[in-house]
Amino acid sequence: MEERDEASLIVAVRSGEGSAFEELIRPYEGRVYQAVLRIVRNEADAADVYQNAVMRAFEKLDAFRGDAAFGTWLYQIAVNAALMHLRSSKRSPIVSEEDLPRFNWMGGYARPVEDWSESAEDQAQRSQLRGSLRDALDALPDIDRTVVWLKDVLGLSHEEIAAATGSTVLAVRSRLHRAHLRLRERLAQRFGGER
Amino acid sequence: MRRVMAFVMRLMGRRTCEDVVAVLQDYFDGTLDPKVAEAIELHFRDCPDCRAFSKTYEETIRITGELAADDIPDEVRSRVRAALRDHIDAQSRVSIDTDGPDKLES
Repeated sequence: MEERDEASLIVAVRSGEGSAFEELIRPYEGRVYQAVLRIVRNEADAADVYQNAVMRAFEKLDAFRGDAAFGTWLYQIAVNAALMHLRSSKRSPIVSEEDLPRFNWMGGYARPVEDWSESAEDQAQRSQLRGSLRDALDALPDIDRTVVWLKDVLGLSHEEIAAATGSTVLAVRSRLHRAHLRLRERLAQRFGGER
Repeated sequence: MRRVMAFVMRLMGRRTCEDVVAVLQDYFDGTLDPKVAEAIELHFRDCPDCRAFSKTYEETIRITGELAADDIPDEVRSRVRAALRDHIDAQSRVSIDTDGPDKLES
């Protein structure tokens, strides 16, 4: 059977061919699930939230106007479902200001900065860095973690992230920067000897 | 006191390390005013700490991008597909019930 493109599949679903929706979301299943998992940080919850998101996307397909790419629209629905789930469970991590860089009275660094970036070229070290980064991501506030995943992993624009999280572009940029600073700080403490 | 010193530095046309860190995201996004970007680059020339900080900041973002995964457990995929099919079937049954058997025959 010939593969249909996204636009044809959307038309098919809207015409009553519900089964075309499975084909429509197939290219995105893994990434959407992983985004949900990263946001809710729990496999059992991720499965429930992912299912809710898929159902919601199916129900709302008539409202999809094509202003954004279908994949982006799907991520937005999934992110919204994940964040709503977290709001109801009220389990956001608490962050400390220790996780941000500190400066002295002259505006210089309070402690020496180590450049561990070259050691990251070693594959074994890089693998460890990724592991530490996953832990550091889980320790971020929910919305910050979401913004980082949408930008750095899924490549959404600031505008798309703002729409997905019910925020403004300015707030997204600010959160992203603070989150990057926190992540960098955690890696520096683990691999750069900075304390 | 810290803010006063930083202000004095800026009056002298010098960026502090704290200033550089504050705009690092915008610097890498390429959205800084060209004059500010130039001032940042001048600062990098003379500040090994900021060079190290910016390299590790950039590397952190790069490694984050490598966390991308697109696997979904088979049981989750199967469960969601089954739920979707049940939902679609249920919708079809409601549609038939609403339209009535006469509609089907014509």
